[in-house]
Amino acid sequence: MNITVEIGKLKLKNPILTASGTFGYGQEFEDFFDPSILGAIITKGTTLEPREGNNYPRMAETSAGMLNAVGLQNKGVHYFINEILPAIAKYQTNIIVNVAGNAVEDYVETVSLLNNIDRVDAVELNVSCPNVKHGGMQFGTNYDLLKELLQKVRKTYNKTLIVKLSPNVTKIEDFALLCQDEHADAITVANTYLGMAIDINTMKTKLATITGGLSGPAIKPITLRMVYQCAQVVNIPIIASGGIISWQDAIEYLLAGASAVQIGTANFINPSISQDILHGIEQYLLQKNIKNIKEIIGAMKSN
Amino acid sequence: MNNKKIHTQLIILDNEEINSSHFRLHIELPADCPHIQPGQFAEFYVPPTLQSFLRIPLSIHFVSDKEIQFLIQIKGEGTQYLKTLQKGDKIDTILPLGKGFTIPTNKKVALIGGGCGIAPLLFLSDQLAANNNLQHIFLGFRNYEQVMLIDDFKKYGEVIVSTDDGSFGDKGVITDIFEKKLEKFDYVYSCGPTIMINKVIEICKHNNLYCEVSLETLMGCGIGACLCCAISTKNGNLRACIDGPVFDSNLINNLNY
Repeated sequence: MNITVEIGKLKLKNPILTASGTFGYGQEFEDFFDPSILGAIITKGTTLEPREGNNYPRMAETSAGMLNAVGLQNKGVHYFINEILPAIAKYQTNIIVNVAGNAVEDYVETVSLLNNIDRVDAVELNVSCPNVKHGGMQFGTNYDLLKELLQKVRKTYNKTLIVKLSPNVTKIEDFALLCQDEHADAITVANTYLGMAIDINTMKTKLATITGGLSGPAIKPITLRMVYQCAQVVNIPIIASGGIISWQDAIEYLLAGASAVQIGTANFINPSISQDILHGIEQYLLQKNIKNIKEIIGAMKSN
Repeated sequence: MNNKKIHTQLIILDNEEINSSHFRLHIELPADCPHIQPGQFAEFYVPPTLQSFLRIPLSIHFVSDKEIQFLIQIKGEGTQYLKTLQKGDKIDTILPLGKGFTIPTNKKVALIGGGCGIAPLLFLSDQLAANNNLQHIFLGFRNYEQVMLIDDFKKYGEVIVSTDDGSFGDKGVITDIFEKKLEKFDYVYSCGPTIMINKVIEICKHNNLYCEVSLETLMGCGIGACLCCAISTKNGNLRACIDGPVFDSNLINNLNY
């Protein structure tokens, strides 16, 4: 059975990735399973300068989902390169760095630093974080701004470039096509949905930032629809990210046209769920007598 | 570095009713359980409902050679589910998580707990006693009905109890009693409501006492990955789940949640 997939120049041993911000740098999960079994690890969002993130409270549980407003807390790209990367370089899988920024120049400088680091196999450009005041989602929801960003980043970064799109737009296909036109190697569909929650006893918003990003099983049907819509218009690979909690969810995304999937919020409930989902997919292919996983990518039939 | 964690199904040995809003779960200590420090916590998986599906973090209350205990306040759907567990049932658990309290030897120490915040202090008290520390234990409750586990603590040191309404022990908040009976403690430990923790930190700072506090926050993952449980400290935002939940009180900026 062949379960390898290609994303740009990357060869993934399987289509299971971990979503940025839900898997730390992999080390946090070592007691539960070996991150080397994954197709790739996607790191916590990394910025040029260190960021303290937002005030507490940063999360709230909602029906079949959760809101978060962490605000890209991280120690900056230099710390990542010098302190974190040496500790995770041992993983026998691809390391994809999720890169975020306040301004075009921040993104460009960050990816230019990562371009020279051998062990960084790809960059996932985060243009869709809903929890920062400047940058973030502003890029992913503004066509012209995203175009400028992609042109400048593409000139600087030669390795595999993935763009993580925002679902908070009217027509995500337009943004998917823009990424393809500007020579991104792949797109991730999608980041979290802007949402909010209020505590009716205290009458306070549950998040310090009022709004935050909704993730978890609640969003899966919406993101699945967006993956399908993007798959109708682009030829570059699509990485699905949105509410996967089981291998069945992952298969649905592959059928809708995704070449790979990211496991996110589900890591919080079962830290070894990525391993379980990988095994589930293998069993499914075995039972269906499918020799190559690529046979099911986009193989969905209409009813 | 935090110690090794395990993710396993644990067997309930007993579910002990403490009062109308608290119960104590006795769970089998698994053979492969890593060493547990007082102040560490566990994350329980409870069946998801329409309102919630994340794990529930609960501090470890007591550890013996056979069992791990959890003192639990009934708050929401998750803890209501845990209340229904009976001997022989299994619970999906990740433990031990986080950093615990420092255990010195031959020192004079004070413990200050409020309400269900006394939970991690019993195992702490046990370990402090095992290391020959002299303990003054201050426990505060809302009223007589809420007073619990006094005898459990009496095994380890002098226990001073207060209730807000004076229906048991001294009348008033426990931090006022602590301040009145202040001595040159080498270590002070505290766990309880935010307002109490802030007061303990203030008293210790003013009197130059070393203090460790156990903080409760909302948690996403419990293992350091999601950064949802941010605690504002002199060293920037730290994670309650892995940098804590026990912190040196000098590090903590005023808690405002």
